[in-house]
Amino acid sequence: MSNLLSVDPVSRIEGHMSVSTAVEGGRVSKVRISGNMYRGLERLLLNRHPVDSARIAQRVCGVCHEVHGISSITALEQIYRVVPPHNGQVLRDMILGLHIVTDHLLHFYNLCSPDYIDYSAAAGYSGRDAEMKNISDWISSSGTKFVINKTPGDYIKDKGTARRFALHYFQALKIRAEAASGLALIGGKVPFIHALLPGGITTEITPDTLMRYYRVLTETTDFVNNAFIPDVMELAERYPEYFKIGGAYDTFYAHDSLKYKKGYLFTSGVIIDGEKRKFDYKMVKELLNSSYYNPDGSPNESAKGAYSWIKSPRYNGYPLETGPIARAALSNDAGFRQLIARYGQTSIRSSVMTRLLARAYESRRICNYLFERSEDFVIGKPTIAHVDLQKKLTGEGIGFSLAARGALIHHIKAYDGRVTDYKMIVPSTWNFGPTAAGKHGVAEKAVLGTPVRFGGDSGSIEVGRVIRSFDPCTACSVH
Amino acid sequence: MLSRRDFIKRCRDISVAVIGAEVFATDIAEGFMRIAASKRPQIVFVQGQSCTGCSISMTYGNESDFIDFVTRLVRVQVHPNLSFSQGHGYIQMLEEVTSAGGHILVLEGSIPQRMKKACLLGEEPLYDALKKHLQKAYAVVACGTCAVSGGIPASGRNETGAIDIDQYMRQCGISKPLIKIPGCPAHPDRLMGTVAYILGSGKMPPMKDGVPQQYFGNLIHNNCGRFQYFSQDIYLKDFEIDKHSCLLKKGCRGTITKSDCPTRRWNGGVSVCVESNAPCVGCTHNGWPFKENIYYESRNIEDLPWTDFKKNVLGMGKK
Repeated sequence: MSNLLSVDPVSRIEGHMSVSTAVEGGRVSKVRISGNMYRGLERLLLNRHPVDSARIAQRVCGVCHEVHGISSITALEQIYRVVPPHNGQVLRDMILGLHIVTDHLLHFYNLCSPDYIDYSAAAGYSGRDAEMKNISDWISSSGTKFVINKTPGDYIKDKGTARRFALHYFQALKIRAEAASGLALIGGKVPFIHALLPGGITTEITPDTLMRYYRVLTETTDFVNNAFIPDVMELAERYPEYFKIGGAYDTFYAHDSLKYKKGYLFTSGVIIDGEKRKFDYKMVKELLNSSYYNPDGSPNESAKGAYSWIKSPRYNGYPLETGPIARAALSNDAGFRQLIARYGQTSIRSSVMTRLLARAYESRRICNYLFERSEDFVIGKPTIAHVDLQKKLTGEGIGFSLAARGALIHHIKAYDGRVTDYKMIVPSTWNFGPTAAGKHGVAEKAVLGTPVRFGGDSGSIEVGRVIRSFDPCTACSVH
Repeated sequence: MLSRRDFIKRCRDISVAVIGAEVFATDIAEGFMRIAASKRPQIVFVQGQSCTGCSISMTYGNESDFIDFVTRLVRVQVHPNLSFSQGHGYIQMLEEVTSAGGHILVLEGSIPQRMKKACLLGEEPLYDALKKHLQKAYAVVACGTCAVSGGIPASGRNETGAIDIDQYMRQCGISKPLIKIPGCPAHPDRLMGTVAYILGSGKMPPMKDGVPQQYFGNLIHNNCGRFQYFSQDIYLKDFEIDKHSCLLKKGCRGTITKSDCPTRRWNGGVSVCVESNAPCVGCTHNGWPFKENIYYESRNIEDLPWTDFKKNVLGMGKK
């Protein structure tokens, strides 16, 4: 007998997603993951001026708010045949890197940590730390419902840990706001920097801009080192079983990204069957078997056999996992291997806990990188090469880039100043695509076999943990 | 917790942030004083066809601080990105709050009317589900341009039939006080400040067509830091060299877009789009993201195709 359980909707992620599972003998035996929101960004860009995509495609997602802009601009610059000046490239890396780290903080503390921590245990504090007291009082007396978790599970209930996490929950929000001000100084405002145009960054960068950036980067780095990494490690110690839960295909994929003198912080490639290969874009196909589209790509909510708005990208037929774990695997990062070796992991294999650790570990790497990268900026040199924003562009461009959640592609075709084809292949599309051609999507595969000890109306917390370990972004995945 | 003196000071800060003057500080303070923690207004967030950018913008804050907002001013009852619960437990909580009523419902994103599966709330299409959550609301806040006027999802051919909350409520025969906070994304002060205003003063802010006038009363152009370059006909030609000129001939929509961006600024007041030498794209305008090119360049400002510009800016003196 199988028991049907669903998490509908999956909260604490970006967007609209549901997971339905059948549980047999205490494990998930069947799974379907549905992306439940569609806007049609690729299609509404058709016939617009290609440069408009810089502003509209940027708004695919308000969580990973700078990554789509940068990928789209990279594609546009190929059509313009313009290369941004050195400073422009440095600024973009500074934006991308800091943004990605703060995105990781949001994911871990605000989206993911309530899967493990029972925050009600933080109530009743009577010590001398004023900040802690405020938070603790608020949790006990506010009557605010969003902190109530009715999903049964094996949460951490000791007061000390719950209080420390509660403090960090709010500190993460503060650090993010601080870091956002650093990004806004470069780009005008966030979310959605408008200073990003084909050719570079429009802003006049002065030494005080860089000093402010340096200050927020230092604060962010301190928080990553003193809170984020130890907190994730604590979860890894307390939930060692999650190194065996949530494994997918162990196929990984990443792009060359975040440049520095010696090359790139992250290296490009694909790992299939334990073997690293060069990434070849021609091998990528998006299947529509289980998605709400007609063969021509137009939306069709009653398409036969469909259950998701997300498409199913395949690389030479393989579903690929992307994200910090894939970046670590492709770079075959020695530091990361050492870190997981503490928990008995001899190689980088996909699991819930390895994903969480990869995110924290990479945050530290990116912070260190950004200190080095920001020193590459040469005050007084141009940040942008001028281009004609009205030009009747014809051509094709592909922006290979990255988001917090993995490898990102924007592919633009233009004719006579109009977009004729726009394709985005987004990290969460890879990770959350539905079953197609007999193969489950990556996250579906990861949910299969998940042991379910706790179930009920709200679905299983274990399934929730597997899903959230990918840091899903549904708005991105469907676009 | 806060001392009374700290509290009044904080209310003064909020008053300055919301209204731009300290005069309402005591009003607001008294408003807050009356509200015990358990009686603070309940806020429910619902996301339609959206990107979550407005919620993220709110967490960044500016003059107003998100953590203060959540822990001292209101009770955030349900938020898709924050709620600790999931699945049915989450939907149940939403239903408990909205069926008891008296809540402020904040909608982020548009609502697909034609292709209903293009946005679900739990197992139901948002189009069908939203009604019951609105029925007993005290007020509705349309947060961001998608909720206010359809925004990006409603642009182009609008294949999903995305509509804004105003159209939706008319179709469903629901009449509720509606406050519109346009912006792509919505500015944190304009959202949190409006809620704080209602809370503190016990009444709706002065509005025109549902848009609070203290935030959207004037053209960006009129308060623009580069207004004097416009007055002297100094326009940006080359982004590489010109760093302070008027951006109008690069398609800046500050002359047709109403908002207090130039004075309020963003992300802790550190900057604003035009200050980064990027043209305003008009994200608070109800036409956003527009039919014509976003960067509409023009050799002569008289040739810009915007009728409102001709009427309100050229008509007011500049020939």
